[in-house]
Amino acid sequence: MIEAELLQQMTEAIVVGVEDTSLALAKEGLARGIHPLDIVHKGFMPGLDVISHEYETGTCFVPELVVAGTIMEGVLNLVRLELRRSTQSMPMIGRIVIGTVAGDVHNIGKNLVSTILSISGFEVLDVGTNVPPEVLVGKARTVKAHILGLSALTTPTLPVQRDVIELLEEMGMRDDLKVIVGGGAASAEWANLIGADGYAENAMQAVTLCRDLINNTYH
Amino acid sequence: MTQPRVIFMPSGRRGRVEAGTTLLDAARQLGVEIESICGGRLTCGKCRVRVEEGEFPKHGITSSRDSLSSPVEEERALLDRLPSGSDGRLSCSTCIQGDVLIFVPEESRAHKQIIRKTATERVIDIAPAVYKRYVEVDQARLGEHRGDWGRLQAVLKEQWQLENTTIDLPVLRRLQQVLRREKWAVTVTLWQNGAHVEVIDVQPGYRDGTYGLAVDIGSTTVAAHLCDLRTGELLATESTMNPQVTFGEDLMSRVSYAMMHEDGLDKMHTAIIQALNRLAARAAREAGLKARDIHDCVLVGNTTMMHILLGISPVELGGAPFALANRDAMDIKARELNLRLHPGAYVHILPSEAGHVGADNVGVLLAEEPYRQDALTLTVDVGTNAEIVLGNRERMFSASSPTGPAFEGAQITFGMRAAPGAIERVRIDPLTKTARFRVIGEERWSDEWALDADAPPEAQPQHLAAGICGSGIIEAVAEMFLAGIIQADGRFNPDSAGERITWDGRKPAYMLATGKETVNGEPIVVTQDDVRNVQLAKAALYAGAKLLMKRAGVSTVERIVLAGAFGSYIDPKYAMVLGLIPDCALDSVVAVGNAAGDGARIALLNQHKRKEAQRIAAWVTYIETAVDADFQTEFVAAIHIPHKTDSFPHLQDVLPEAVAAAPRRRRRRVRVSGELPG
Repeated sequence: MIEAELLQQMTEAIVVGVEDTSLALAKEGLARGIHPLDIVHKGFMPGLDVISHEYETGTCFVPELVVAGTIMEGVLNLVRLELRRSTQSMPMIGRIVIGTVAGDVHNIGKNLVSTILSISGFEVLDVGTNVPPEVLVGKARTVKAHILGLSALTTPTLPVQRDVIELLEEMGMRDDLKVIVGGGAASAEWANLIGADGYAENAMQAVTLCRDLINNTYH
Repeated sequence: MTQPRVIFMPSGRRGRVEAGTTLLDAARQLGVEIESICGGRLTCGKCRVRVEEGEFPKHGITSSRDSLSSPVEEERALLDRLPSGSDGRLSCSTCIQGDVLIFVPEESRAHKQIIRKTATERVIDIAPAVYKRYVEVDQARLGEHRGDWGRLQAVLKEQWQLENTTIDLPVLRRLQQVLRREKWAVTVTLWQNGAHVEVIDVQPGYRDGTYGLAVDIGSTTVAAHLCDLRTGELLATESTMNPQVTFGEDLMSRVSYAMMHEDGLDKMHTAIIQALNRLAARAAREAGLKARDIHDCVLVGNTTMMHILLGISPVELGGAPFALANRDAMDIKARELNLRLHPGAYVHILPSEAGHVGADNVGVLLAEEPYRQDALTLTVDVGTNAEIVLGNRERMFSASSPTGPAFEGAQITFGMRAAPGAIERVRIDPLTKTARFRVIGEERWSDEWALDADAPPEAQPQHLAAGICGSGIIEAVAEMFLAGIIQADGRFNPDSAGERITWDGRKPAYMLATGKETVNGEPIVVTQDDVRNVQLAKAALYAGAKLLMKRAGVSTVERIVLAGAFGSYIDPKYAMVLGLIPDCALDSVVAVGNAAGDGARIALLNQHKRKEAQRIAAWVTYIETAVDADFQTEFVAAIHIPHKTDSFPHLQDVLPEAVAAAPRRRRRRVRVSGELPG
């Protein structure tokens, strides 16, 4: 079972966080004819799940997530190339527009969420920081987003998350997409209060939240 | 129905309790210590607390008086008898029926706060803005029409070469009467601002003594120093909690409070003015004076504090582009702010540098004068928001970094502010992994404590451990790293075992104090999440410093100054082991205490320093670190202890060899097996 062994090595490589080895293993797998999607789902994703669980227990932390994100992005690039060769494409779970709301310039946490969502199979459009409600809503409409993610680290900018939801309602778009909130200032209580569809404390929980929202809404 | 939520401020401890629980019991359940001498018999009134009303979105609750049982007659009667007013509730006889936010005032806390902001002795040239001059004025005569003020002006010019003097209207109102009381001999108190001189007081005869107050308004602590303006002598230092803590623990929550509540700004403004009046009165009393003997005042504080103090909405500071209402220094009549000093006194407010680098930081610069030195100095004022300044006489850069409240004991499982019983020093034996520590209020280390019931009283510690304060958590995490309990990546070492290390499921924790050594018999532990929170805080600070170093084009600094009340208690060695600050010779790292307050004192005693402050504040280049493209990379690299890539040659003898020289790739054990999730 050379294939299973190789997939196992991929899992280990992303958990340990060695980028060059990971990419070499992905290439080798492709060369040996392992299906590109298996490389993602049976090779690297289980490793990402390990990291995700370790993050919850505090064993893993931000730097490990960043490294895993970089590795996964590299792997996905290889896989996409291979799929394109056979005119296939990566299945996409859902489309997410994400940004830090107007007034707040913090991006580290939001970037991490973008990366982790993106490597978990979502199509993520990151509109950056200090983004006014009109831009967030406009972008969500143009790209037909399934989910709109709003980040706020500082308490005074928190009300802008509510402004966005109100704008969506005004424009009659509220039923067309799900709104999730996060960032240091937000909380589950706050999400509830402003009528958001969900709150995630960290990047890993954001993935679970988005998966659940998509599954419950669109399937 | 769900159980009501209760939050106690300023500790921030919170939880759900059974409906009908008394506030006192709820406080005990949540580890909040409220004084009670009579034990709930409605006799002592020591457990008085305040209910904060309104919507508190950060906590997700709406707090209301109606969420509490109505006061019984005995409680009402006792509250009426208490000197501090009847606006509170007695926690022993008040039952919780719904969500509430409770403020426990300083006097009701079982462990009263020690606020350690003491002014250090610095060499200051005395050249105050306010001084007294004794003059004998020409008497009014028939046929001479200059007016009494004209005559006083003339003599000020003749005898003291003071030109173009003006007079404060309230002084003018009393002038004629005062001049005639002691045969036209008066002592004039003058306020000088550059070429402009104003008479702010006139007293009959010869009067000695001119006094001024220098105040540092911190978001947590307000400290006032009363000085003799003639001799420079420090007569009294008084400090108090910033009463605005009720409205929000940190700056941003206060900005929020001003946004969310129509009367929010007003409440916070009134609270700080009242606190300043109390401080001024207390400091004056301690020096045998009255508050109205204070003729000058210099205030420093962060930009949000200064906005609120002036009654200016701080809302613009809550979001980009963080616009200040005014960056320059200001002189305002104390009476306009309802400050009860001498009615003619001015309040001088030092200038700010940028939206989040305020007059307090300018105060630090005035006190430390890095802009006069050749040595490239990194000045760090550690608080919930760290202000970082790098430079020397040639150029200076400043930044502000959101370190969060971890260093003030918040977001740490057993965190507390610096109060008696707080663990402030930690040593861990690398072999046995056992810890000994020192708490505030007790000189002896914990391993010298006699804890048996029959131990003689003098051998027992003054205070058992109650929690961990900021300097304690820095030493704890640094020592845990040195002892191999945690790895450089901050993770608990999976090989590390012993009775001090517990694994609750997969969440590890290190026992710093055993149940026997603590106030409530529960062990004090440092959890994996605590370590993570400290890592985030220190990484924010380090990354900010690093960006300034990059901007200055340097890879090392020659000197590090740790400022702030908390800064004085950090052991430089541990700050460096943790990677809070970059590498530097240990003897070039100095803790300067409350330098912001010292800067205020310097500006109080020397009017030229006020001009200097104005020049420096505008000269320093402010860097917005959050939007810098490199910030994320620097931040992530700084999460490691002490750092992922930067070396610390000055810690060669302290750190495990490999870490000091060149950091190696972190080794992680892979746990991959068939039972993988997903």
